[in-house]
Amino acid sequence: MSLPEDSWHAHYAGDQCIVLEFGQIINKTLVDSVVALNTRITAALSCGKITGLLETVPTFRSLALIYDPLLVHPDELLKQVRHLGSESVPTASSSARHFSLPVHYGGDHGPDLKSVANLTGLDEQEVVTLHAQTSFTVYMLGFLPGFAFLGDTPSELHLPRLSEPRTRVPAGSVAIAMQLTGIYPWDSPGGWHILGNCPVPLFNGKLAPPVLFQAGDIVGFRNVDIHEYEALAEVSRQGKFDRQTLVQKTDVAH
Amino acid sequence: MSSSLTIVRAGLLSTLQDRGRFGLRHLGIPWSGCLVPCWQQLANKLVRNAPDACVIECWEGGLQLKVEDYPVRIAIASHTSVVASIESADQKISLKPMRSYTAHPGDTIALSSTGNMRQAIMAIAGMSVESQLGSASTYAKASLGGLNGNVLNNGNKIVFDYKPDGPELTCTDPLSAAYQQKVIRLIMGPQETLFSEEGLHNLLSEEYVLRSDADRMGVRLAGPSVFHRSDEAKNIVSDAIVPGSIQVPGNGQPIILLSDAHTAGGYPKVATVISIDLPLPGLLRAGTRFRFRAISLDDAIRATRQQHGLVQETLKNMKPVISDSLSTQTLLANNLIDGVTDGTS
Repeated sequence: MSLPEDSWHAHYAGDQCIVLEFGQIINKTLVDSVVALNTRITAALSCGKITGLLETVPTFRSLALIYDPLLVHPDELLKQVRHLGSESVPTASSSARHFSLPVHYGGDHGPDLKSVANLTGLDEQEVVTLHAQTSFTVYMLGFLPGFAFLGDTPSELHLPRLSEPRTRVPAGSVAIAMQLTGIYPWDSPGGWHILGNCPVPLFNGKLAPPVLFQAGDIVGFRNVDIHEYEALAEVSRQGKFDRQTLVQKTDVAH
Repeated sequence: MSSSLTIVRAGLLSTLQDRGRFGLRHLGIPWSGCLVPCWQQLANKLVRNAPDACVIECWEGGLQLKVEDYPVRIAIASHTSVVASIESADQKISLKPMRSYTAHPGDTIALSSTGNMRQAIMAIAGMSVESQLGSASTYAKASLGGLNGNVLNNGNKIVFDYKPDGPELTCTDPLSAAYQQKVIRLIMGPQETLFSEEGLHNLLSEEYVLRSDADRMGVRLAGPSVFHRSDEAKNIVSDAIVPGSIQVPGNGQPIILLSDAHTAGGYPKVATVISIDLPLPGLLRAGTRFRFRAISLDDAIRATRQQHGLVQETLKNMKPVISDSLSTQTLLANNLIDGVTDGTS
């Protein structure tokens, strides 16, 4: 069942989740709308303005609202959410953070850089420059805990997934497919083109939050040589890397 | 007093689980948590733990624990077909589910088989497990919870702090009627429009069989294909997943997602199992046949609230155990032979 709205349709996903669907494609404008509503809702939630809502899950296309059916009827929850649209809500925590991540492109750490250059008709340096000059937005997290989907990769680098996925993509890999760039926080199977590797830890279960990014954050890549890469990797292995050094600035929303 | 149990054998898959790790799905971190939440609550209550405390969730069985320096109170919440025991030097007691027992130093507690179901729960009085990001639930893929981020392994120690406090307890199983249930209720959507009329008809009128490949992430079904509307409809731009989501990959065979499933995915989800029916597909054995029935959200919420009431009622109605072995020792302990001895004096 779906309930029509201006910018989203509500779909029930069982008896504890409503999915507000904004569209069915990957597109920055859509992600921005999802993040904007999510920011309003989580701000309202944190100051006790919404009853029965447990957590929200933003994706490329939708915002899932997970609620406790013992505390609130979903139609009542939707009413509260709609009310937010017409009311100004403090946005204390609604600030995009800008990150700069060190990446070593190519070589053993970026095994697909050469083939990406061949497939796109660019040389390796051009691929690296194009990628490292881009300011990406975190579109969503998922697939693996802390896996960040970033967009948009420059159109010159748009490629379909590998026809044969790898059984193991090393943790830290920065890879591309279609208009997206992904960063693997864990070793995992994967079918994206690996351009390089980020030597600093992207998931730390001992920290809260355990993940560096959230949807809406801005991420840039800094091309580092193999010496700096190794030095950062060593600091990380010793558990001495301070992830706050990756934050360049924070936008304060009004 | 703090003591420990040694995991002599961990069995196929035994993990520490509590209600789950909430509030982190937006970072790609699933809830985890017990697949059968009411069993977790009841097992805990039987040993006088807080209902939401951490328990051992055991798949299939093969779990053996040795009691070290101090006695411990334990309880198993499971189907009646469970095979479990406490073995000491001179005797072996078979354990019934939904009842607490006291084990003594040197005893071996065994949960040998989960019987007709895929899982059983064991609660340990005063079990202490460090929580991580708000929960002790094990999610080994991200090294979260459990013992050092891991599932239980042979040789692990479980620490508990138990003070003997009152009689052993017993209760009923609020799921006992549900095991016979041949229908799993669902709410259609969120992507039911991506399926063909024939596909939806199959889902709602044909029988489906639980396959053997099941784990804490999900369980696969076999049955008439739930056809997509078109080839393009076989993949969607990633959308949120919740436990209970029924995703249908290109082959048309549904997968019901459970506590450890990814938080988002690119297969369309035809429907969502209602929360109180969700333990069943994870519990029931491979080969079990059932049908799906679509119900309204209001009916689902009514059923959820009713089941919640039943579980609360059961939690409140723990009964002290009247020993069934009637040994002199237990009769004396329960002070049940006063009247009898009076007669002979």
